[in-house]
Amino acid sequence: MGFLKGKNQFDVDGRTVLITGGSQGMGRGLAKLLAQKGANVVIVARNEQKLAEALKYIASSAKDPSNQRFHSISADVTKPEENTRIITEVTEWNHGNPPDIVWANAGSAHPSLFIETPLETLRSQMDINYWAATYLAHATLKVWLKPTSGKTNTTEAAKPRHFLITSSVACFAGLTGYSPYSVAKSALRSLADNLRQEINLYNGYRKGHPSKGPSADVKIHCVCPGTILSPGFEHEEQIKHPATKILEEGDPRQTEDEVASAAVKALEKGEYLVTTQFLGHAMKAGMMGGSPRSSPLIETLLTWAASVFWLFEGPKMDRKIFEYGQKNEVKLPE
Amino acid sequence: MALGLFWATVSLCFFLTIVALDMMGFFGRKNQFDVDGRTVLITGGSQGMGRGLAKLLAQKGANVVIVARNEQKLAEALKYIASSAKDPSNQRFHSISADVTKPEENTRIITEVTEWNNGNPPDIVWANAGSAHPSLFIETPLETLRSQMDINYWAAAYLAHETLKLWIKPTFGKTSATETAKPRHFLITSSVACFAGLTGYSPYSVAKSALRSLADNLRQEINLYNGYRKGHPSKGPSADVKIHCVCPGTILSLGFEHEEQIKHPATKILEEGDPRQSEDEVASAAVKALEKGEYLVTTQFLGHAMKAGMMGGSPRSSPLVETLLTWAASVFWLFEGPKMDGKIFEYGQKNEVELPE
Repeated sequence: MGFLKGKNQFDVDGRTVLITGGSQGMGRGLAKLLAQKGANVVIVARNEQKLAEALKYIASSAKDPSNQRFHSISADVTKPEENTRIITEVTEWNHGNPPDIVWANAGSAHPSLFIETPLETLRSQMDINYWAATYLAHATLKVWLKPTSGKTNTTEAAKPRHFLITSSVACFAGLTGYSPYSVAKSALRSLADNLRQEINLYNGYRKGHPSKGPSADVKIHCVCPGTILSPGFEHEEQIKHPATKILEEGDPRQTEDEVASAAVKALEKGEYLVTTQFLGHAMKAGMMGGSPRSSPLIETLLTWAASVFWLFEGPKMDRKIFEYGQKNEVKLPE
Repeated sequence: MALGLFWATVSLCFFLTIVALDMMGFFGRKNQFDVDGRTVLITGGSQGMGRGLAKLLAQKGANVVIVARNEQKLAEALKYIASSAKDPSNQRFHSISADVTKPEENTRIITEVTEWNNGNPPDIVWANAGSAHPSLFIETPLETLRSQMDINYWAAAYLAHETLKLWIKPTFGKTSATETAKPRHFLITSSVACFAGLTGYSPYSVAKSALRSLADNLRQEINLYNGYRKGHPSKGPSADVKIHCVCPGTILSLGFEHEEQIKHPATKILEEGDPRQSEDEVASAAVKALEKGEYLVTTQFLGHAMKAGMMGGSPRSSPLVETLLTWAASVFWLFEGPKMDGKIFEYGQKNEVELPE
């Protein structure tokens, strides 16, 4: 219930947030919510018209319209140089200060059976769902982790910067018809896990060498939504295999506002690996590995329950797919 | 009271006996990875785990084809492997020099092996080629991040695409679609690096995690084709396909020597005390598990423990033991995770760390 709410560990009021994939879907939902919470927001996408419409929509939710600023950048985030350009442009626009919060959220699922997926599609799925975030992380962290050398005021009270990655529940389980997307989202979760531990090196350096370390701590987060009702989802539904739909029957679906709200609530509680509804929590529980727990007791019990649940659910899903193949036509290679 | 205690003791003894038998592999004795007289293709087969596997499978009667880049290393390795053949007069050995990071090279490899194998595609294909470049993320050039993904993920994805498209072709009476056709096996060598984030391993971990995910997806998806074969034997594929994902830990190999020269000191601190296996030890452990029919294979206890915390929906080989190990791992990580974080934080606090300019 959050009665013992504690400190907001994802404070965006008056801070500048950059969100890729911000013109629709979860990105737009997040941008609007953070605008409501007082952030200056920059959204990135390809289509300029969609960006313009989304920006109006987001800005109209501003908590403090006379002080908050809004901006959009049209870019192809699958190219490394575009990510460098984005960070440079935002920094200029933000009075010479890099953005405080960067959310690598751009992504797009092309769900198809592996052998039916052309190699170019496998590659482009990895480009938009993995490389875009990696390039943005590289560009952002290389700016954030620069030594201060007295350029900015290194106060101990400097708010931490946040780098967030939107992965997916698809990284918690293999699912027939999702391989082009799942592999990239799994790579993302792994990147987040590695970065989260690695960033301690720089946060520690800052603690031990305040005059020459970075000007603020960095926190890493990985958000794993499930199904979101969005234009992206409508597109997926048209191309995915019937067997995939059978497995996804009954899965919860969230609006862009619901998923944004759930994600930000968890981030405000300081969570690292965030899921947005119960199925996501359950799937995450079975794949926690070394990632930090937010509620150690509850999540450990959920992990125990998930491990028993999968003993039965795994074979059950396998049988459904086997039976589908047994009773239907399946496209074989020529 | 005494009767209750009696039955409780009997139940406990029964339970422990089942657990012990389970652990000893008493249940399920049939060899589920039969290679005798079959043809195996192994990429990254001229050194390290690949060479260890090739030799072991040669000892078990397989015809072996190894793939790598360097022709001299291939020639030397092939001699070494062939000299372990169980039945030298009947077993055949071949090597192919190729750059497995290119899709067209994987097509060529499969075509060449099929020709060499009397017109039959290989029975077992092992996407084992891989190479770790452990470095801190912001210190790693983008080209290196990309090449790590090329060799550690794309090579296997391309080989899987090529192999499965051939194996899953309809038979239409071309080959004998007998119900007793031995299953084909596609194996992926991932790494324990897919089970946990580790400072200094991001270029490699992300690719190995993508591999594990590919294996998980393929493993479930392949039921579609195996089911189709069951329901349409005259027009389905000529054999079932099984998918496996092998996750070794540290292997004493040329690759490891190279890694040790470039990895960050903080990484070495975390890896202190980790078990290290020779190429023969890791091959032996992997194949033993595969013969028991396992899907997600680890080769030593640390690997088993790390896997236990990341089982997700992957099938368990010993349900009872692995579930208990999962429970234990989840408690273990509650303490080990923060402990590792603390070590990295302290390293940064007390040492020089290279910052971007």
